[in-house]
Amino acid sequence: MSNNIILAAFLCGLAEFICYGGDWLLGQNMADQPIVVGPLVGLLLGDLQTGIILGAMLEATFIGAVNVGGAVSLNPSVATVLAVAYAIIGGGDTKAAVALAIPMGLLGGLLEVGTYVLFSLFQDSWTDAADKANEKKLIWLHYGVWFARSLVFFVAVFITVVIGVKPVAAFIKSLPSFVENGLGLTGGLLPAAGFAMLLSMVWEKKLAVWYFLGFILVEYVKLPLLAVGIIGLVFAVVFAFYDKDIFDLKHSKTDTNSNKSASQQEEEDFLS
Amino acid sequence: MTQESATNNKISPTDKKLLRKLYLRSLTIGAPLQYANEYGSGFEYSLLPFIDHYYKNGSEEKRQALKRHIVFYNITQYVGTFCQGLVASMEKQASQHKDYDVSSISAVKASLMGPMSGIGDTLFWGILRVIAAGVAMTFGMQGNILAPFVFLLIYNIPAQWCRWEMTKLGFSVGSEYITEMYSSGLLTIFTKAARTLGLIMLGGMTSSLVQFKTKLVFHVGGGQVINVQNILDSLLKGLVPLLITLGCYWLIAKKHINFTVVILGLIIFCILLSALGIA
Repeated sequence: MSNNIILAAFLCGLAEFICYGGDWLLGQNMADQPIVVGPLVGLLLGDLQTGIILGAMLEATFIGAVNVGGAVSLNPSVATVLAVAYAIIGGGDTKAAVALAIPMGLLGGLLEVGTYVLFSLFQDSWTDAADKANEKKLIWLHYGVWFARSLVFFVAVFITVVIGVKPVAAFIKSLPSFVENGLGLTGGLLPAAGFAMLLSMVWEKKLAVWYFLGFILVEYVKLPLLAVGIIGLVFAVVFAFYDKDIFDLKHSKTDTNSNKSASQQEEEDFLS
Repeated sequence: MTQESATNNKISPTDKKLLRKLYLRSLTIGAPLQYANEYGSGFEYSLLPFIDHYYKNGSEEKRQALKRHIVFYNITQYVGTFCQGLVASMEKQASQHKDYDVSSISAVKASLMGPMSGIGDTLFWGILRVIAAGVAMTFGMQGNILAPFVFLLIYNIPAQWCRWEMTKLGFSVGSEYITEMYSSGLLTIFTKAARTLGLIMLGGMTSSLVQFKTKLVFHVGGGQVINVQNILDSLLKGLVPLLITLGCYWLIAKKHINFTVVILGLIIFCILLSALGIA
């Protein structure tokens, strides 16, 4: 029995190492997304179907977990490994597994921030290696820090599964149902935070109306996202050429006619 | 486009080989991610083939070049290779002309970080990832093993192709092009187009992926029931998800509330709603 759980924990840690470490090692290929992590954990623990389905459900939950602008708050890979392990080893149902994934994702995010701070301590070694033109050391540091921080995730998942799955299963069962229901609700609203994060990067007062067009196209016209993307692309291209024409026109005018009348100035301001 | 085909011819076979190395190494740019230099280590590592080839071993110039790049750097990696290719071409020139102003290299890097990340994160993290996930999720919900493969292919074929095209483009345009890009208004126009596309997609994603329904019903006299969700739907479908998303945006962008705090707030808010029987 105890051997089994140690083997299972090792496999969970391995999946985390492959997905999280592999994502960062190979061009941020998104292998750490739930839809990839879920099936791998399912395969390793001998229940592929559960892994695939939970992975797809958690993908929707964590779609807003955007790792941009230095903001890390949720780690989808840790959440997925632990949720799938809980469903397969701990015998939890999928609803409880999804509810569990949210706090686990938060803890995983904390761990990630912790590693970023911890491995910042190597900056002196990096500077020193560059200062001495020690390329070998630069390469060692590059891959060494990757390995070390991926290993941290392996160990964290391993330990959590060894000590955690059974007590967590018992704990989740003891929770009042409104908490589980509330966490399920959170799953539906989490994407809002992620989209808000992305919105803060693209929002511009004059352009904000486009956001509502996209909303209406899906909410009322029921278009799939791919179609919305293509419509968006068409508008973006049309307006880009239009803007380019205006820009060129404006500049050819300023070149030839430097002291123009106030009315012309006004007209240009209107166009821009 | 004519720009690209005209300049492509200028890349010599040696440089092409070096660019291929830069491309492959740039795949690991985020491997040792931490807060001190973020992608700085990866930037240095990707550039090593160029520095080794163009600077004399043991020279002071080479040491300075190595020191120049082990500093903070972060651009969304699928488009950041534009900056890496550009810097490679600048380092090549710096190695050949003694009077080259090397401070311009760091200046170009710094000027590209903000705008390129804004566009890159929106296009890749925001749009491509969500489209790939959307397609793959329909497979996954049915328990189809194709889900992860579909997801990885839809995401990575455009992303890693873009990485390579940007590597070549950055190397061939030259640093004068950056000034030209700003003065010709091209960057502003491109940023505006990317924002337009991003906003439309985010609107669509808000509708399709942010979920909220209230269970609240009022029993009024005479056995009549008022279903709050129906009333909300008749005002505007998806009103609550829309307001919550805009509310989060307001907190993050205008009130500068930490992302993690917003998420914790959402969890508490939902458990509260659940406890009160609202949802």
